[in-house]
Amino acid sequence: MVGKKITNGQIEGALNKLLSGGDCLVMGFEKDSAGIRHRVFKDSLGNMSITNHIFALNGGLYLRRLFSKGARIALVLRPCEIRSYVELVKLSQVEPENIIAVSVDCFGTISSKVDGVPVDPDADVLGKEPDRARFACANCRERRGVVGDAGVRLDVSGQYWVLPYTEKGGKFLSLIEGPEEDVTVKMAIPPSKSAAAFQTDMAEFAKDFSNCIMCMNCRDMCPVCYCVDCVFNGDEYLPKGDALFNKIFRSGSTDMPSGKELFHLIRMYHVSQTCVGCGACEEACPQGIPLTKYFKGISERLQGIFSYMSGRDPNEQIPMVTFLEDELKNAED
Amino acid sequence: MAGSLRMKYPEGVKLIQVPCSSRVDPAFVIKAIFEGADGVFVAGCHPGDCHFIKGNYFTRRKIAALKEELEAFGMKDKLRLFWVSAAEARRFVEKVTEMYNDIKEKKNGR
Amino acid sequence: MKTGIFICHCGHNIKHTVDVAGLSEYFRKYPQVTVSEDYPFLCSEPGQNMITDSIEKHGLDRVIVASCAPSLHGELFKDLLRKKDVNPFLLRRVSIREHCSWVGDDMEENTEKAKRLILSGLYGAAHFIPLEEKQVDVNKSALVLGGGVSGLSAALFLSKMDMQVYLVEETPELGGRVRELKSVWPSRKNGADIIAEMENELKARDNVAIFTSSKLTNFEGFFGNYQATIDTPNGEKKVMAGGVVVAIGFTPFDPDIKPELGYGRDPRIVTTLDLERMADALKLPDKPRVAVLHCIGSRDEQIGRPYCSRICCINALRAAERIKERYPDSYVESFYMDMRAHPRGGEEFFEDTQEKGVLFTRANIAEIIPEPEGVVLHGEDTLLDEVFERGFDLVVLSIGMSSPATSRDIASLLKISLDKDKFFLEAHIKLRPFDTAVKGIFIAGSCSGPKDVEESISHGRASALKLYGFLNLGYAFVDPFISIVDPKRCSGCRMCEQACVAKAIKFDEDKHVVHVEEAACMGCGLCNATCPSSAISLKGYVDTIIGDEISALLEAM
Repeated sequence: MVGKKITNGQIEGALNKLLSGGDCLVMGFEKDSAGIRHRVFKDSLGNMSITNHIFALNGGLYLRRLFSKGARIALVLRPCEIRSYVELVKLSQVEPENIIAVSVDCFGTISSKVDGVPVDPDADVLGKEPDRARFACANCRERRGVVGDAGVRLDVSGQYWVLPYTEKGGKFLSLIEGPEEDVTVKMAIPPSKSAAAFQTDMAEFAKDFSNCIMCMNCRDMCPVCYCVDCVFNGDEYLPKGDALFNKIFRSGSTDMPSGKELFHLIRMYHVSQTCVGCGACEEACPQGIPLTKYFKGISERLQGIFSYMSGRDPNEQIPMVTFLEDELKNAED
Repeated sequence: MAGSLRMKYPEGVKLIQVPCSSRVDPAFVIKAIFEGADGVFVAGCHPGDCHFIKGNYFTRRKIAALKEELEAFGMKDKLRLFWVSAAEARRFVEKVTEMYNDIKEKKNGR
Repeated sequence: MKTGIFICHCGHNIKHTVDVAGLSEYFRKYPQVTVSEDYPFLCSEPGQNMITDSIEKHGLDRVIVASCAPSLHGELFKDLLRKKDVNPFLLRRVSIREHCSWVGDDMEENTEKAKRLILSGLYGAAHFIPLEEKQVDVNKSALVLGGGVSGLSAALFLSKMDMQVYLVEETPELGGRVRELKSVWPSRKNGADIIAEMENELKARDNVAIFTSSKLTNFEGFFGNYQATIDTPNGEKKVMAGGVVVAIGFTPFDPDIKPELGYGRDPRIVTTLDLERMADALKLPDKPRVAVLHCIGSRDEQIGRPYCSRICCINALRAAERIKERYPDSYVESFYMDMRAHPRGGEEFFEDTQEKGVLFTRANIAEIIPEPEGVVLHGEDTLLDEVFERGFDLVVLSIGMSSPATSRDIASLLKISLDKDKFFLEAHIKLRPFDTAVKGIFIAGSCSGPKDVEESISHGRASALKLYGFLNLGYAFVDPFISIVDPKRCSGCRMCEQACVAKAIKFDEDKHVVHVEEAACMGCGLCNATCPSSAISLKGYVDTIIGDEISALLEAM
């Protein structure tokens, strides 16, 4: 593989070249004294930051139903965000034609709910203060900038590289000055270790979700929960009327709001193949429910049986829309 | 079919008609479990032998994934998938009776 | 919404294990139930009148009939609604016989179960909407698969009824297995003559196209408008057919499957079919000893053929009779399990054969060992409880019928079902014995289970008559249970489009939503289960119907 070594400001330079054309936007992060957050730039990059160690939301969320009619966009985001973008492309929620997706090596993030985190975009959270890292980051499946059209990667010597993965990525690379070189040096972030299969039970679930108020913020902030009208907007799946009261008669009592198990377990199934494990749901939860543990855990198990990984490759089909004739021999009981 | 041959199976087994096993939305299974079903079985035609050509291959994927999810929550024994065509009355009766008895045993054991 | 519940006693069938009167009483108290009645036979005329009178008197717009399986009397009850100008798809059938009274014995539990089943009908029906049956023109033409007696008789009948017939036969000749039979019992006519008669009549007709050495390779479309692709020696042919009669016959049991029979290892061990072929060429000593074995490849669980082939007892008797006629001094012994000479005159034929000196021994034959001086049968006499060894000059195996070798291919092309023995499955064993689950596709002859020549001919005609009945109307109603998209809810993710097996879902690039091509939709509901927001739903099986039925069976009440 070939790539280009970059120094400070070179990516910004390339992005500015795109902006100067007038028909291109850049989605990335902006830093000021108050913090660091997502921003879309049109005329100039301002105070753009390539990395962001504070996680508030998944930028993929804002790409849904974006059929950029003519306008081009360059995404410079975290690998989990680019992976959700890839899934949304598979789901026809984004038109990828005019989008260049650049994933940047991620060193872990701290929750935006934590107070007093200094604004230092280069902070190596997982390396220097792993205790403050979010659960999602500590258990991340892909922190490397290896997804999308191009990647920004750090090698072991501290040198940054831009690596192209697609034709579009190649075009992006050509905007950067300097010679193309063979990449022989080792990168700083190794592939993630695969985690043990997630295992829980209903008692633990009940405990963890006891404070759920069914505000559905988790759903609304999920980058891959793309339905324009969720089934849980209606009440067909939620126990109601005499069914609710019979549940009370059967079990002695019921928690309120009722139907949390249904909402979360069905949503877990719905996003199981597309969940990228970014933890945006947990970030959005006003009740502090450890959602990532469940959604990430379940999705990894459910993707595992089809040897699928969300967002890894735009050419991989989502497992639920295809099949192999010769598979899952043990599915029958 | 089992009924028209007057074969017996437990009264606790109740059936919901769908045109093809591929119509079974995993959400139905989850709903049934949380509305008090002790077990849910999904019966479909044998893979490769589908009236709707390939529907049951999708059923197999869906139900396998759902089983994995239920297993993670320690509820694996609540869902079973049977390949039983409409013609296999005896097999149907055997399978549902076996499942019914397994669940009953477990319930009484507790 | 006004709902009427009608609970059938089905004579004793339901009443004896379900408290029907208690149930109708129970449902009367439901606020959403206007009428709740029970009646001995709802399918009888007074029963039907009770339903129509109630519809008229109370203005019912939901009718729940709790009775036998919905596959029975389907149109009868729908017609009652039609008569009263109520959309027939506002009828909900609840099977409290096949799903309840016949499968359980406990009155209390059955009544409780029936209550739940009716309740689920009530809850489901609340979400029913009137559905429109689309009328389409049908082709007055038929595809007949198989040129044996059954297929020939079906083709002849249809042709005489002015239907264009396309007859497809895999082998170069028409006539199938009957052509090989020298004397067809009981008429003793030569099989080839029977075939020639039918073939000549058929070939003289100008609305019949016969394709021999040909094969069905593709099959698409729906009732009244099927498109079949046939691979013929003169290239590929595409024909339009309103319906199909499948009459692909059977495969004779191959005795090689049971090596202990020694078949193929000695010329003195032959099948009934071999005997027919040899006919006069058969050479035996002057006073030959001949054994005839029944039930070869029938009633045998071990080799997966537990059924009775129905023809082989008569064939065995015919073989014994023939030997006896040709060699009056022969010793002929017939080894049987049970004598099942069931066709008319069969029992008399059995007695005649006995009178002619054929010996009948109830036995299980364990092994047949060819020795130079004779073929030795090792077996057990099951009446005398004795083990025996006997030598013979000729052993005739009366072979049964196996399912046709191509039944699986044809089943998957036509999307029809097979039974456990790989014969084609009828829609109902008593009430719809010629129909398959697919409208306009009928089965005839021994491909739906062993049959003799006489039965196969009448079966062929009967299937043809049923198909004619459907096609002669000139139009058909298309099942309204197809998928529909709510464009306001569709996210345009195209998951359903990718999953749809029938390729009936199309994406609209401009509006970024999908729609369903009605004629192509098979109505399986895969799309509905694939769509996370159920923006695409299968009419008649929408989420709310199934969801509330689940609630009714479990929690609600």
